[in-house]
Amino acid sequence: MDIQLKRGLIEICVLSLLSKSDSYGYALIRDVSNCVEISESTLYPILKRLEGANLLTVYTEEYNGRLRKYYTITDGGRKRLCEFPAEWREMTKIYSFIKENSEEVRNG
Amino acid sequence: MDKKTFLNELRNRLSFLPKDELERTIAYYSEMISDRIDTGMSEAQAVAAVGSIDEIVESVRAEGNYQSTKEEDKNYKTFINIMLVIGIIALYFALVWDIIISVSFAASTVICLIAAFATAITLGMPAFMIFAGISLILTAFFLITIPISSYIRFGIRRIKECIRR
Repeated sequence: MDIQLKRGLIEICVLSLLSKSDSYGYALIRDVSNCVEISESTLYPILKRLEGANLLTVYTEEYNGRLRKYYTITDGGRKRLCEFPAEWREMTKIYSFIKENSEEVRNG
Repeated sequence: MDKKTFLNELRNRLSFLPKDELERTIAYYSEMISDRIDTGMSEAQAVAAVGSIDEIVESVRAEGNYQSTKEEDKNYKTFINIMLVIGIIALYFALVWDIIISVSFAASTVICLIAAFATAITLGMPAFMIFAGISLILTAFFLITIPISSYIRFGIRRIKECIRR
């Protein structure tokens, strides 16, 4: 998938997982991988961006004698999730437009 | 590769990052490797699973406002070009005016250039910039003093000739 498209969607995937419960890096990779392939180096900038936009916050807890970073969704993050269905509807509209115009897409 | 070697090499390759950003990035990948080991992977498997160092460095560069490797190459090339042009001009001046000065200029500039590239490989951009800066300063110094010293010598010669007459 196009990298830009993938990034935006993975951000929403991460937020959706966090809306259920707090999570940590590797668990996020494991869970998102059930749906779309993702690597550590892809996830890291996504987590940074989400934190910078205040859609999630980070806290540290001890686990097995080492420190582990946990991510938790913020109100801003939940709001972002609420916006997603409308975005998705807009995306299907755009898909219809593209399909109308392109034979390649109609036959795809 | 084992975890410690991997993280050390990653740390070296990411030295262009500000310190706290660097620490956070290393901590992230360290945690990822540890988590994979906890699921039962061997250390080597876990390190391989988090991705290649090239991949990671590229993704970090793509994120920030850090120079991409292409831009760094351009800087190297531009610097070499500038030094070559200045070198040729300085060589012309020096050969026309004074052989001794031209030799010492060439020697010091070459030494600085070698130092710049040698340290660039081991110490990275900051060291390179320092030596590059010194090379440029030396070049400027010689470009200014070579003609001036020659004019002074010229002037003294003329005065001696006048005194003889």
